[in-house]
Amino acid sequence: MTARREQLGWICLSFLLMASIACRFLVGRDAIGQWTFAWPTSDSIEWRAGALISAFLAGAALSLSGIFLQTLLRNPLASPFVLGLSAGSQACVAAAYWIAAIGGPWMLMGGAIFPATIGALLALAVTLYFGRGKGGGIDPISLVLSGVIVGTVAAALASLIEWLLPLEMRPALAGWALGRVPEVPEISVAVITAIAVFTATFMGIRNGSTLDAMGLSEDESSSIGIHVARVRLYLVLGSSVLAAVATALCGPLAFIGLIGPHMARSCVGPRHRVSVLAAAISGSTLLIAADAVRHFAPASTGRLPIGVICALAGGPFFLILLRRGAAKAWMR
Amino acid sequence: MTLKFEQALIRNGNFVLGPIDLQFRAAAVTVVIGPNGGGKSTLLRAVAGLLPAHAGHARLQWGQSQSARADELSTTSARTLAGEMEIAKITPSQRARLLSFVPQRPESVAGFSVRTSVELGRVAMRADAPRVQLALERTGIAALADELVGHLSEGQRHRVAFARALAQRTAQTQLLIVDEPTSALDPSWTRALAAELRHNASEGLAVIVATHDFAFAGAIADDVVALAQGKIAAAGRAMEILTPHILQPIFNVPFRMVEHLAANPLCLPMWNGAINAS
Repeated sequence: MTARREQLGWICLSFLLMASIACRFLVGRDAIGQWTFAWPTSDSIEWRAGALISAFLAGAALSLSGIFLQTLLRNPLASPFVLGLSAGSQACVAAAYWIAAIGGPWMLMGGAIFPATIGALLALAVTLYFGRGKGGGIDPISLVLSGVIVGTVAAALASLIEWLLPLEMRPALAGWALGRVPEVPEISVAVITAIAVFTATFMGIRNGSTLDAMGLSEDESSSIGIHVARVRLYLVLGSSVLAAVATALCGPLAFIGLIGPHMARSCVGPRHRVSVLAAAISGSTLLIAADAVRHFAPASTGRLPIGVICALAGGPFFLILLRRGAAKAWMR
Repeated sequence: MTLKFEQALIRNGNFVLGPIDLQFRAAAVTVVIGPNGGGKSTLLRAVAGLLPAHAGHARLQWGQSQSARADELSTTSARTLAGEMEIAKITPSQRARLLSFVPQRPESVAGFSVRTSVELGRVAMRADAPRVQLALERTGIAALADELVGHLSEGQRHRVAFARALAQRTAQTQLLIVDEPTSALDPSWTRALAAELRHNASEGLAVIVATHDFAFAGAIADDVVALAQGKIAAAGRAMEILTPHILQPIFNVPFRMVEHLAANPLCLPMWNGAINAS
């Protein structure tokens, strides 16, 4: 990646971010539910700004979580969704709703960010436990497989708990579980997400070359001076917290955490010193764009959940990566 | 500096190596030979401190005269390193300064160019562009510096990993460990590698190489360690070990001494050209 190419990549990324922000800011619905493309009225300007902030933060958090997981596992198919972190958060948030229903409303304080973090960590811990290689180290392939299973089981658990909930509480949880971009984000969740995103970006840039070296085999990276176990622990914690805050804010969203890092690397190259920041920007861009796009859907049955857009656009991308043998190219 | 194994028992998954007693000399090339599954890679990983001794010791020892050098090694733990130290307990950043390790199947980072991959050798140290350039030139990949490593052949990628190990060298580097470097190399690069390994030994490093290539072994070895079934089958000076009556029982094929241009004859595996298919 030459310096010139990298510069071009940054220009491209900034342009896309600006374009998606402008688009989301101008797209809306009028009184009869028809989509409009105009400067917002004084009523809706706050809502659109709120939605923009939510999407910006959650997109960045998911994409950062994705790039850390891909670095940890040396696997381009890894993302918080694939490894079950999002579903783990979802299950624990559902459980928090259930506890809240039977008399502990404190469980939902801070927008359920606490149970979401527990859920993501639990899911990743189970995934790591069953995905461990023989020597005690992490085996990338079995890890992804066990992540998929953990995700499926956790999502089923979430559905089960949702089914146990009193009827009047189900719509709120069900709407969140399909993915949403809140127009009035809870202040505490937004602030915690912002802190997590900022810290992760800063640490990622600062330790860029260490993260680069994690791409080598374990023997090689530890012989060139990387404390592999410690870096892995940081990556596990960081990616879990980031996935959890994003899920608490916007629900379990598929594939933003997968596409973001790839978009970043194709624009500015694979070195973490630049690709971490680029991944955060890419994730924000993607989620803001997805949030804009869903407004164009026919409005007769209410607004299209954002999770549908993410899965529809992201699923094929995953398959293309698979088809192109990205995983093999990465392992060489 | 000497590296000493005392009754060391090393576990690598289900495989057990040892107990072994060995000493590696500085400023010499030690070649590790042995049948597949004999324990060569396990020994090399233990030498690099990547596998701990389960019982016994695998220690680096500093002599009195070199204690000043040990002090330079690190400001924080110079005292513990001045005497002797279990090599597996050295911290990663100290290890990077002490030794370079090239595994049998080196891996590369997706999307990285040759130069960026070689620069990774300095990740725990000060960047050193001239040294990186020198490493690229010595391994003959300077012309490929801007290519993606993923696009190279296996032999070329081996040279990238070796260049990274060279780029990693500092004034304190004591060990250069290379696991089966010649399996993917053509004869001309095998010769260049042999010269490079000898050169590093002449600069005072203990160079430790595992190989199945007996012409290569004969050309570079000062000492030879033969491993079979997790035990030392033979160890000593190259002249004593690389002989038919020692190698034949270990590998179960005939060996013969072959006269050759250099001073010493080579001991090579030789069998009748006709191989009985039944």
